[in-house]
Amino acid sequence: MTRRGGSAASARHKRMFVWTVVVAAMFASAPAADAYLKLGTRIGTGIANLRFNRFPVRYFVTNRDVPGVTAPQLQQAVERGFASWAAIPNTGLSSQFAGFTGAPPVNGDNANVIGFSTRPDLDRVLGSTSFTVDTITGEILEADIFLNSTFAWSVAAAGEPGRQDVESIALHEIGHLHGLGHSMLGETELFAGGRRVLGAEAVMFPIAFAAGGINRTPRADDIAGLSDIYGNDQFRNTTGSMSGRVTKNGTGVVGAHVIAFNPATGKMIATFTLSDDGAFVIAGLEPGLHIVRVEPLDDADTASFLEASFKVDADFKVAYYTRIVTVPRGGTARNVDLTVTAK
Amino acid sequence: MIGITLLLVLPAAAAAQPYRGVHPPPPHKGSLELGGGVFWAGGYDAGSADANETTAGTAPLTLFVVDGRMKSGPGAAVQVGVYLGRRVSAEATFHYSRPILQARVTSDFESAPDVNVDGTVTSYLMAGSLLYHFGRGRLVPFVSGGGGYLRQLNESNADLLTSPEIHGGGGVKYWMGRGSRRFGLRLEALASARHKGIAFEQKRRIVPSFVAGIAYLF
Amino acid sequence: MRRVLCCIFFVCLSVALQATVILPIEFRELVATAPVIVHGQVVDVRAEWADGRRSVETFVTVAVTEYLKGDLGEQMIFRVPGGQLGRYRTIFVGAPEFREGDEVVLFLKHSGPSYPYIIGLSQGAFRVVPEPRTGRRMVTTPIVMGRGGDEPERIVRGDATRKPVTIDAFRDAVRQVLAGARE
Repeated sequence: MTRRGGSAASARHKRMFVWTVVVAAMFASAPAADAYLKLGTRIGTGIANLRFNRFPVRYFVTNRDVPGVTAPQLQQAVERGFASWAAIPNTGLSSQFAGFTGAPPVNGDNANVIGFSTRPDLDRVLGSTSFTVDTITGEILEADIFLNSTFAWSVAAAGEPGRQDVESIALHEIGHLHGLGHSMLGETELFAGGRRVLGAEAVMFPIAFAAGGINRTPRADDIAGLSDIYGNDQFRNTTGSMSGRVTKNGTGVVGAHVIAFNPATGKMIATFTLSDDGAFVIAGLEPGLHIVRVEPLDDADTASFLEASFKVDADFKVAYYTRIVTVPRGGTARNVDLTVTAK
Repeated sequence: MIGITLLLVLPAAAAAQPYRGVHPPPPHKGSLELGGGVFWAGGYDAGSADANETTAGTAPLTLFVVDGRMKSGPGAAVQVGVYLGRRVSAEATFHYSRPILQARVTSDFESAPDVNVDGTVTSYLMAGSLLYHFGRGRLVPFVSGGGGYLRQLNESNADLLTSPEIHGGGGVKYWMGRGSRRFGLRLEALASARHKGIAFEQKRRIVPSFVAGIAYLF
Repeated sequence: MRRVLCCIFFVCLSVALQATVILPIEFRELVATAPVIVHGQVVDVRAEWADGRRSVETFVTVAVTEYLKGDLGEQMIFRVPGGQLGRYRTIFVGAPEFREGDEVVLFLKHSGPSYPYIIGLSQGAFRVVPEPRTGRRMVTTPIVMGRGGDEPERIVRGDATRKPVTIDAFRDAVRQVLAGARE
């Protein structure tokens, strides 16, 4: 491949921070390791979560304005997005703006680039994150975030009617950049002309609020997910987890969405059952009493959340676990077994 | 001198005689009283919470609503007291119970049926009280007041909450027999105030309870 | 060194596939806006450089069973972002993945002479899989469709009326929407 940008840029890109991929899931792990949807890839016979191992994350911003947003404004919004994730305690995240670049956020330049890009073929995609991985070494060569310039954008502090909020979308995509998958903590409705978000309790919900809305603050579910990837011992010692199964007629349910609600704090954290036996783990929970609810993934393309090979069972009704679950500090409440019935 | 001698002799003679008064002899300083029985603790509001999702507007979207209640239920009580005088005693009390904390889940956004979600709590109360007894005879009313230490654990002993508490109340004892050692029945009503406990919301609560049991005075 | 980039391939028990913010599309709108609606089987998946070697895309060949709308021939090729070339994978998080033998119903658009693409990245891709117990071919991706009135309709998870449907029922649903649109 002929590198773009000349030899100086190539040298700089070679010195770029290169991420290594942690092969996590192939080894026995504490329950928290499988507690959230995380981005990953198969490396050889192993499975690797995509995550940074060294900080700060260095990124470039494409030096391209779009109507309503200049490149510096984009950079400031991106910086705030990175800062929001870095503010999560006990995770050690940090980032560094490395400068503006003429390169678009595309693959093949070994640089982490965030910028606007015109993608009419992605007509309903506001933004997306992409990675390039060496499947032999597991090395992540680059990650890019593009915001689709075919939409109208804004950096207004309170949002701007009819325009998508840059910081909200950047915050979501930077969550992916750090290895987070999607959250299903959100509700939608159909209206004349489409579908819109009624509420979301995670910035990692895959559907944005209607143009003009803002969603700039990581919620408990986001925080727990990120902490699950990067959390230190302090995080694990001060939080707890719960584990159990979702079954229907004695058989495990794959792809069930399990929500743990703490009435004392009002926080909701959720996960999916990810194995044939219907097992799940929810980690990063504040110690205390929880109400547990399970619902089917039947209002969305399951590929929005889980890999296409998952045989998701969405044929069941919303149900609650009939016991109050007490999550211990630094420990796991086990055998939280929910039974669901077919629709 | 004869009068003084009589005064000195008569009390001694009296002490040497079996008690033949109309009422059972009152307890005296140093008398001990052991008791045990059952109690019924009243339920209380354990707090409510809405499971909310953030919206683009000002009002959140409620996914479901949780209303908690600690249900009333029975327990076991033990008292050990020592009389400080004829009317006043100091008592150590131990209460044990396993009430049910119930969460009523309603208003599910996806119209799931309302449901009760339960958890069993193990509750221990260790307290000290002062009792003042009125009158003498078989039926002895009393009032009490004191403070203690409440300890509550969830059903797998995985959580622990402690709280100080203060209580007050009153009741009646009915003594049987005429000897200085005797059994009796004890009925009591108490109100216990505590500001922490296993619940969805921490606030000061007053929990009533009723105790019935037997007592042994010696 | 010539470096080739590949599609990342998501697996892992705790791995999510998509990392994209989307504007969701309702089923009627999907049917109405798609110039091409095709049912068929994937016979070839091939990643290549695109856009002047600025990106990797995967070109998927479908042997057509039927067209519910439009016509691009007995075999047609569409593209999705990302792909695997040699040892390198490019993940375009959110892009659907296809394997040879997959049975699909696709809602496609195309701009100019370039290959068509799936509407809404993956929203226009519906998977057809045999039901283990009965062998019936079921469309597993849910059809999220309103009643068609002006009032907003809350989407309720666990809705008993929203279940995987047979490919025949799915086909009928598409045709009903098309017929309704023509009236």
